[in-house]
Amino acid sequence: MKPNRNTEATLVDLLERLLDKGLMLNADLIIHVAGIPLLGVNLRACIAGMETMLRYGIWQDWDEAQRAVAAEELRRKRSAPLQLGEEVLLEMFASHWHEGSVYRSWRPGHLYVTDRRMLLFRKEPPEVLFQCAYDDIKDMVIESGRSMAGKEISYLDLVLNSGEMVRLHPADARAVEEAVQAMRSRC
Amino acid sequence: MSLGPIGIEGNDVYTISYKDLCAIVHNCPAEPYASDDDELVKEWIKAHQSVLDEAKRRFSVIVPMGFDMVLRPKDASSSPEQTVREWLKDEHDRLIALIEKVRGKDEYGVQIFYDPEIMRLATSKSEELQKIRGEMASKPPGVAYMYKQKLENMAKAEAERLVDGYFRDFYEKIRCHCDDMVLEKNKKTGSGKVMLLNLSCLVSQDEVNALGEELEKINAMEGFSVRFTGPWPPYSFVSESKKEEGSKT
Repeated sequence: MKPNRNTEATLVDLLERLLDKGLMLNADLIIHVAGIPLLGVNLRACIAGMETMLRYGIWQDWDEAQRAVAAEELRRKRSAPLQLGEEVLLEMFASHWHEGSVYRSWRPGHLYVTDRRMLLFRKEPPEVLFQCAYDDIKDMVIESGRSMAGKEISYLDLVLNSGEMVRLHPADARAVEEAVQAMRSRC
Repeated sequence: MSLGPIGIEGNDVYTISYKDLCAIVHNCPAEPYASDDDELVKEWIKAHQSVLDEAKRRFSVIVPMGFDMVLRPKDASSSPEQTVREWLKDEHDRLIALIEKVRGKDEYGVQIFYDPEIMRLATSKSEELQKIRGEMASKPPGVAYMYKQKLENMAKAEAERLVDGYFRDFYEKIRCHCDDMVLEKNKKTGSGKVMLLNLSCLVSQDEVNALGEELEKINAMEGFSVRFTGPWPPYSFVSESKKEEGSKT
């Protein structure tokens, strides 16, 4: 097997070495600008596999500036009504049980657990299906049930301070519960 | 001496020497290179790398620095050249040692991936698991459910043991061909494959073919694939922390 170095694919390998390694000069001899991402955001993102990191809710390793820039990129990409500077901690598919006067059904969308709120957003046609701030939540519990096909599934049930009861079916209920619990204990 | 206008934005690249050492530099504005434009950044990276290639061609051994090492003007009285020369003087012995450490060697990246499906299939053949499955078949549904849990836990543990075994095996096999090696963090892939091993290897030029053959064998194993990149300047093997030396004044 021959080693490869001259293609687009190996640019990431070179970048990782250039950005984080190599001989160091004493800090007092060089100019550095703290907190500003020095190189193109997309190249940084491809090093870290950012989208994948996001799906798993791994956000702690990044420094402030990179996160802010990355969050802005995602905000533009997603078309979800995220606010400026709002950071997404976890995202996944989820459905919301809607019990209205006219019809009752599951409404699917993208669930975002952010540093400000929970938000369930459907892209087409665009609509916020559900959202709440963390101190709106009075109580939260995971309930097991069975799908139409007989498969075991987990729901995330919320009781809001207003008395409203909310039932969500996320792709990973436990992960959402943990993330929301972490945010609730922060308030 | 000048290496020509091969620096970033066509800047002239030249050397600053002290005794048997020289630093390869070019002039630039007093701020780090920063941009959002990916294509521009790629050009900068390529320029940086081609300067190193040219230097290697001329001087045969190079110790690389990371991107954006911009020397600050210390004060009005000393020039950047003086600062570099002083630094070379202060660090002379350490730098010579680094040069000798990497002479005749290059850095290579080795990443090994596995397909979790194949791993799962391999563990399902294990005898212990077969035995439990056999027992499960004869039990009533309620009890069988608990066996299923046990089975899943065991399968998971088996898979982890198997993966661990491969990790250690490949690590040792690759280590044999390297003068030094750094274990890097595994990264998530988009593709469903899992990264098992991520290594930066310092390999002597006459050992590279042997390493390539070893990796070819691993790549041919069912469920595994190998990514072999390089040769790179030895970035991973020169970022030592400064050591205190009693003999230094």
